[in-house]
Amino acid sequence: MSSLEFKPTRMELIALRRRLNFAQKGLKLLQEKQDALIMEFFAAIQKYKRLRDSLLPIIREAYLALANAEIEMGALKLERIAEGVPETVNVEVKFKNVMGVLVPVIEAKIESIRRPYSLTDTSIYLETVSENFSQLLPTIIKLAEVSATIVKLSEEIKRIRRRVNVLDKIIIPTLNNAISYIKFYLEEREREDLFRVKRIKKKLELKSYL
Amino acid sequence: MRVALVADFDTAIGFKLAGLKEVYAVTDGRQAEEVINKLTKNAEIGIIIITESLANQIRQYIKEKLYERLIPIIVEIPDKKWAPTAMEFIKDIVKRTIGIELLIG
Repeated sequence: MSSLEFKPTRMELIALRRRLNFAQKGLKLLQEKQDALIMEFFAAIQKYKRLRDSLLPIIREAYLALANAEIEMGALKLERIAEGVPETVNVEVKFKNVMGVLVPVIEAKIESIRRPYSLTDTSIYLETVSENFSQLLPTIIKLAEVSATIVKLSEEIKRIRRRVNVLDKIIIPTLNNAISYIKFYLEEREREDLFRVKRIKKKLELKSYL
Repeated sequence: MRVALVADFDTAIGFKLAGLKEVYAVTDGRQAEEVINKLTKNAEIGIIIITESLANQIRQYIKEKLYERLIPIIVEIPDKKWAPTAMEFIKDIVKRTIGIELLIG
């Protein structure tokens, strides 16, 4: 962009200075918001990692119990029983505002399982499997909330960074250039005027001597 | 809203026993993609749980879905073979957001 797009007048100079001031204030605010969001972002990632790590030991146990149950009862029977278990989980997704970003909040209702099978003709491991996998669910739902939050925050951070870059790398330098161009132009014209006045004065003086 | 699961056969049985109903046992990434496509059109589904090993097979597809819409939320859980590909999702998103690769941990 060239500074020739701006008219070299004093009015324009005042308007440009006002715009520059405004842009600088906006840049500062956006940068502060970006910093805050990045902190939120990393906090969310730490939370994600913590939740995920807390899943690991339960998952290991759950798979072990599942394998044992399959050995004792056979995969087919196990599957048939699994089909009969009624649904126990219901979630509701709401939104909360974190610094202008809508992040999800999940409310989960988990009922305890009503077992559709008798305890006498099934393996003891079946109980463990069902218990272990049920134990995982609340944490997984929390994990879903955090991972959606991370995605949302990441989008917002990228959006803000684009705007910060536009202000910092394009708009503010352009305004600065325009302002210094206009200042230079006005000063130059002032010097010209001064010179002209002096010249005319000299001529008039010469005339009055004659 | 309901919770759906896309996973291998074993994981599917386990979560069925825990009381999930929208459970789909798939064997590879292509099948998982089809199922997720169907699930995202269903307004009843609030969360889709997928195992990390399946998600890693269709990483690009998951990424698109994540940014495309918020609900259903797609969440990855570790499974039997978690070790080598853990937390791809987080690594990728950090790289895209901050611009550098970080070791989380």
